[in-house]
Amino acid sequence: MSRRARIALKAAIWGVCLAPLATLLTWFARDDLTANPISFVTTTLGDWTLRILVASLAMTPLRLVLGAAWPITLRRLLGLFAFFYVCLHASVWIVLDFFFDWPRMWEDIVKRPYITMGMLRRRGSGCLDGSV
Amino acid sequence: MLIRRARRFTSNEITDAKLYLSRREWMIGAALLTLLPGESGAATPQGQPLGATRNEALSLREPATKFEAATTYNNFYEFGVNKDDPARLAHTLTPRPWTVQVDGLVHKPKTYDIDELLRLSPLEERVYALRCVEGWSMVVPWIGVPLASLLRRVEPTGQAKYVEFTTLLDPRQFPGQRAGFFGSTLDWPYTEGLRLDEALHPLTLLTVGMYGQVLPNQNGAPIRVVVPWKYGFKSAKSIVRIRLTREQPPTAWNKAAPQEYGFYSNVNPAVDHPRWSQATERRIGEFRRRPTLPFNGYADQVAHLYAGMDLRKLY
Repeated sequence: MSRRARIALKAAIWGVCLAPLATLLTWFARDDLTANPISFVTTTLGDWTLRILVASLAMTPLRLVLGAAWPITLRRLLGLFAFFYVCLHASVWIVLDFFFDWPRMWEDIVKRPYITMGMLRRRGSGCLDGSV
Repeated sequence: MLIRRARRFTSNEITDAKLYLSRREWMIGAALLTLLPGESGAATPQGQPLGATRNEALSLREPATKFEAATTYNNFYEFGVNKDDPARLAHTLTPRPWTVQVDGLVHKPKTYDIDELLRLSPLEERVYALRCVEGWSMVVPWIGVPLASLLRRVEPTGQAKYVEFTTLLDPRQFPGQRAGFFGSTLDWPYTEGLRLDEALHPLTLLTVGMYGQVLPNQNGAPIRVVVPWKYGFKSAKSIVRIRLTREQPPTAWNKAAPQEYGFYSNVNPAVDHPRWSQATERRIGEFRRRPTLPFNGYADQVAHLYAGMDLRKLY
């Protein structure tokens, strides 16, 4: 793959990965984030974290299948975007949803597996990002 | 040689299937209008004002949630699983003409026309808190009559212990009832149930309107129940049948996920849903969460119904 094609591919990924955030910001400006905006934003950011994470983890097998090196050059970019979204997701949850109510958040983390999954995601991707 | 290709249609030139199929409804409607002159002139009274006297004693002293929020943020899986599906697809439901069959263990079974139910007793407005099992809540000024006024009229027999509500089953009017790629979301028709003493409780409202107007389709038109001390899914919408039974009736969400949704489903901050806490809720329109109250704030009126019951087990 030529240098120019690689740059185009990376630019496309920047565009795709920033589109969900841009969409949320547009809807925020138009006051169009449903009647329950905090819940909607938390869920949307969580969904995109998972989608981008899966895409970044798919790059290694994709290289093996295609026998081409270019997927590897995208892995770090996608991984960083996944980290970016999980940070936004966690910030919205901590600041907007629970407004720093740590005891209540702790209760939810120990009692509810789906929140624990989210926390593990963040710790895990923190490690992944530290290693790139 | 130049071969001219036929001009291709763009998708916006094709008549939408909904419009194309609706010609039948239009024809049936037109036919019915000729059969029923005068009295039932308006085919869909949705959006029309509905007069009622506020029952101050049974009304919250809190401002109502914005009408726009209460009619665009709905859980009504008959239309679809997303919050905006009911408002978006509400036009597919035809709430008139409509009948409700009331039968089972009663002395006087009867099929009521919706307009007859509107005249059962004087319409009351009641401002109730609505708590969704998902952790949000609203304040809604409902309009209706006590369900007890209907049940007393059909005279339950001594054996009647439960009341079962059945929602309309019609995939043509309820797109969410069509089987999708992953199968059906729930086992249709939607059924819900109450113990007879719960159904006869003065707070239990047979509801035909809200915010001073006829009940919008996305909120369960033309007739639903509202049971304010229970999570929202217990309040069955678009009811076509009310049946009195001796056995506890099967309920839609309990069948779908028994470990998550019990028969009673009273609002209870001390008993968590397996996937989230029920200790707090977000009132739609407010920023901070607020603590959830036992029985959604109606403990004084209803707690005695459950005296001696272990509400952790019978959640």
